[in-house]
Amino acid sequence: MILLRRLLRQPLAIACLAVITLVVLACVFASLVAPYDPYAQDLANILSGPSGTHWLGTDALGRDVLSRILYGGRVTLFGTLQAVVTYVVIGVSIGLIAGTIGGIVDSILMRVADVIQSIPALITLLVVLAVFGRSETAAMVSFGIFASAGLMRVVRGVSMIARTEPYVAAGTVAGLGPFQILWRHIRPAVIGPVLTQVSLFAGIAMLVEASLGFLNLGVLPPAASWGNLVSDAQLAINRQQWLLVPTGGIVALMCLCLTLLGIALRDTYSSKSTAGGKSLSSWRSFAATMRRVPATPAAAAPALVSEYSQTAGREILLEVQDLSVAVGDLTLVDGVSFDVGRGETIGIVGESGCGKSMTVSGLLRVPPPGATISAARLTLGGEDLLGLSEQQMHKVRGKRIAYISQEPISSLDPLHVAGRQVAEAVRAHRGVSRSEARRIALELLASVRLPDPEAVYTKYPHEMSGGMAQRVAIARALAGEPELLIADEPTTALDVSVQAGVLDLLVDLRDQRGMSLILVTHDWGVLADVCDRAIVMYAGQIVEDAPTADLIAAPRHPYSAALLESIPAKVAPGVLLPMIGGTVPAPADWPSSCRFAGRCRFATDDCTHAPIPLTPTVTGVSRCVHVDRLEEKEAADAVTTA
Amino acid sequence: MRSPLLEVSDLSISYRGRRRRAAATAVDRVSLDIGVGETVGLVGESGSGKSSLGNAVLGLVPAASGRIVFAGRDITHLRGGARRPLATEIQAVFQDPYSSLNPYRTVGQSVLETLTATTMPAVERDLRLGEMLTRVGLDRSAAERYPSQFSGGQRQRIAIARALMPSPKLVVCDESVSALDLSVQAQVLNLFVELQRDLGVSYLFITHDLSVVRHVSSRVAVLRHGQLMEFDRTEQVIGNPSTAYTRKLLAAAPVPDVEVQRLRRAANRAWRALTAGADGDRAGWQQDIERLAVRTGNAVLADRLASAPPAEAHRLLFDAAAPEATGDIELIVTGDTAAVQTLAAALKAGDPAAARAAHDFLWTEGASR
Repeated sequence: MILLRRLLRQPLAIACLAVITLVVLACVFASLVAPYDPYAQDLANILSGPSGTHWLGTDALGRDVLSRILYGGRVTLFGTLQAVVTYVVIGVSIGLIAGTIGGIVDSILMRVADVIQSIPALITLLVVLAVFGRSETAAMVSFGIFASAGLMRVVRGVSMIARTEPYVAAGTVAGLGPFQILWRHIRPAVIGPVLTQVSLFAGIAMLVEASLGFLNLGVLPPAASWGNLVSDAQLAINRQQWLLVPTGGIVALMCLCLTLLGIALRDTYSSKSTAGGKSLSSWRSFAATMRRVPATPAAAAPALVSEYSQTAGREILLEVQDLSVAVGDLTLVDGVSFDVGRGETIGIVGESGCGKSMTVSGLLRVPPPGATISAARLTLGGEDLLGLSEQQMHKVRGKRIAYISQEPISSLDPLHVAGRQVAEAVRAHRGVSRSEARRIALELLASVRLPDPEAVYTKYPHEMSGGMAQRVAIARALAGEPELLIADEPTTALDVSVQAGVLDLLVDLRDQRGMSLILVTHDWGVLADVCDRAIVMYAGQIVEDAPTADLIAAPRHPYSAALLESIPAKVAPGVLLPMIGGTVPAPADWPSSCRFAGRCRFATDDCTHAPIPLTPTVTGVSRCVHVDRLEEKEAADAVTTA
Repeated sequence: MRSPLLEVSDLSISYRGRRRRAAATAVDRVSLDIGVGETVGLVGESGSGKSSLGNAVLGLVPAASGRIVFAGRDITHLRGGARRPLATEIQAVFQDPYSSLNPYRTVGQSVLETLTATTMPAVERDLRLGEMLTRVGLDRSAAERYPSQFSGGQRQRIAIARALMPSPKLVVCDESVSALDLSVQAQVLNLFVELQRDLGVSYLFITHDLSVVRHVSSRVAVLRHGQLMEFDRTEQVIGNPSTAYTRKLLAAAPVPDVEVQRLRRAANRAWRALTAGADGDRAGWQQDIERLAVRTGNAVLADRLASAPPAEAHRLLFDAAAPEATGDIELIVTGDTAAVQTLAAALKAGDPAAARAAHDFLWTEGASR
């Protein structure tokens, strides 16, 4: 079972499991393990502290404390078990019924759960004990019933979510019956949360049992239970304080272990669903480690500066030289150099896992936790961003460099209306009064062509469509009147007609405000539509950098060429698409030589010997030793089509 | 013509209203058919009802009215046990390669799932599992591993293997390649095409991506707000769309060609200048006025525009913008936006009535946007 295997990777969980198992086994086999009879009195040796003969000391009647704890554990653990079994049986079965059947059945069962949860459990327990005459079983079973309402809700919630998973739909299409669906697909999803709840509940049930014992409502002395051992220790507290340590300690230890185990279990299964989430905003709270590296000759060499960047009158806004982002030993972005002129739009293309977003996070200095950003040069309008403190950088972000993300709706705060979010950004960046901020926010909402700014101002993110939310996000990004707007896949989640509107808007805003734009995308159509120049990234490196028209008409790197060829729009229907075998390798597998060689049709031995530098082409740069062969092939293709 | 494999006639699907919301019609009297070994594309934007239609064919949502006939048999209202044997004939590949495989089950368990409804002996199952995994380009050993150990493209291959295990006649592909990167998308699309060639399976290919549909399907159905806009041969729909909606959909999807995109952008600009007075775009309209005043140096016009009621300002703007727009329109005569071409022709011919008509057409199009 995956869950168990994952659990056993956590040292804390192993320790807890070991302690719990050890204590349970010792109690179960108390008759074999215990050094003394739990009732055997040694009156010559009362209230002794720990000693060689009595490891945990003796009580007021000279009985061995260790033995009494082991025998007492039988009572307490058995009571706990009764409560837990009741809890699981009722909670899981009713939760599953409510979650999988739904509708009116669900409504009724959940109202029943409400009623159970509203009964004060402890008082009712006292009543139960009075009625059933000190029956531990009756008390613990009733406690299990009272608590099971909580588990019902958990199980219901999880199974309702699981029911809507595509793999359940796939199971239905595969012809599985409802019970097969329940067993194969719902059960594994429910088991993690249930185990967590059970573990946490077992701790509570144990405490309740001990409390009953302490109040002498459980088994009666001289029979031991963990509760009445504490009670005995409390009576002798003036004569021997030590006695409280082992008796209270065992209860505390077990509860602690069960709770920690519950937390470990929760981490284990929830890591499944949350793994791979990468949103820049969630990284914001981590300040990155910044490092300045000496410029490598290649990056500084004027040969690299393409003809394009030498265009007369071009004012450079952002300059990036040898930017790298590393997490631990893994270099995720490797020596990226480029610049962005004022009013220009630069596209960054490539497949997922090539470091596009990571490059942006490096520019903004908001990388994943534990990352190191290094660069030879990182300047915005002449100001050195590398040397800024985190606080100073915080002022640059949003004010001079703004960012919009792929998920328009989740990038907005669900708890505040759109207008307030824009107005707050305005206040933060321009330091104006509240009413002034409101006026500017309305202007901004109008400038992103939202039909009725006043109405949008009071809308919550969940009341908006994706296109509308993206416009609001853009308005918010404009609050600081940024010189550079970085848009990370801004239209990927939108419909094509909405996408067209948002791209139009970005282009117009760029032209009106003289803003520069960095657009991260995987869509070559979007690239062709709005970008002046494009950077192609593969496996953390720039492999080609050229004006968009040239890049698309005559790619000078095999990866760019192969990607362009595999676009279905460019191939006759029914013909197999030219494709690149394999996938982008994981960062750990990136070779120091050409990273694309393994998937490249031009690859030769030359490609795998040494790192390949970026070399100038006619209008840009390319990281390939076979540029000439690409040119030849292109010429040959031109002849055949002519 | 032989009788089709799947015939959907006058199908409507509605979702029960939650709380106080009224019931919503997701699909409204749609008819289409799929032949044996054919691929039919189903395109539309989000909320067009394309997935609902696919789910109705799969028996995942009930039909409100209409009929779904599969291989001559009415399957519209088959549910539960009666529906189960169909699992070997109609299969599905869903969009998200991450959530369409149960993370807690091995690849082998997931792939074998589609054979649950059959009586195939265990030995044969295992043999077929190995064959199928190799057929979709994976190693046999993949069966023992968990989905988390595979990339998105590999998972989609696994999903395809699962769908094809019982040799189905029809596979509903719901955005099956949308979540994949370009190079992986090409691999998976090729796999679909090859498997069809070898096995003669039919596909209902649901997607929002017209270029994908163009590549794989012989016929295309276009849905909008649950209604069928057109259903015809792919060359016809893509090359010569009969509805303005399809044209707009085609024009909105950017193509990887800088020249074409420049022309389109010019067309959009002209379009917007002409339709700037449309209600609901007042902000854009005002900006256009400003820009126009700057461009023409005509402050008097700008004043008149600013004080005129919208309808009147709209006309003034159109009249003033027309010469400007003509320049842009010149650019797009070689482009493919038919409506703007008509307007361009009318403006060139100096025919005010035709220009007015073309403009009004554009205006209504713009307003309905």
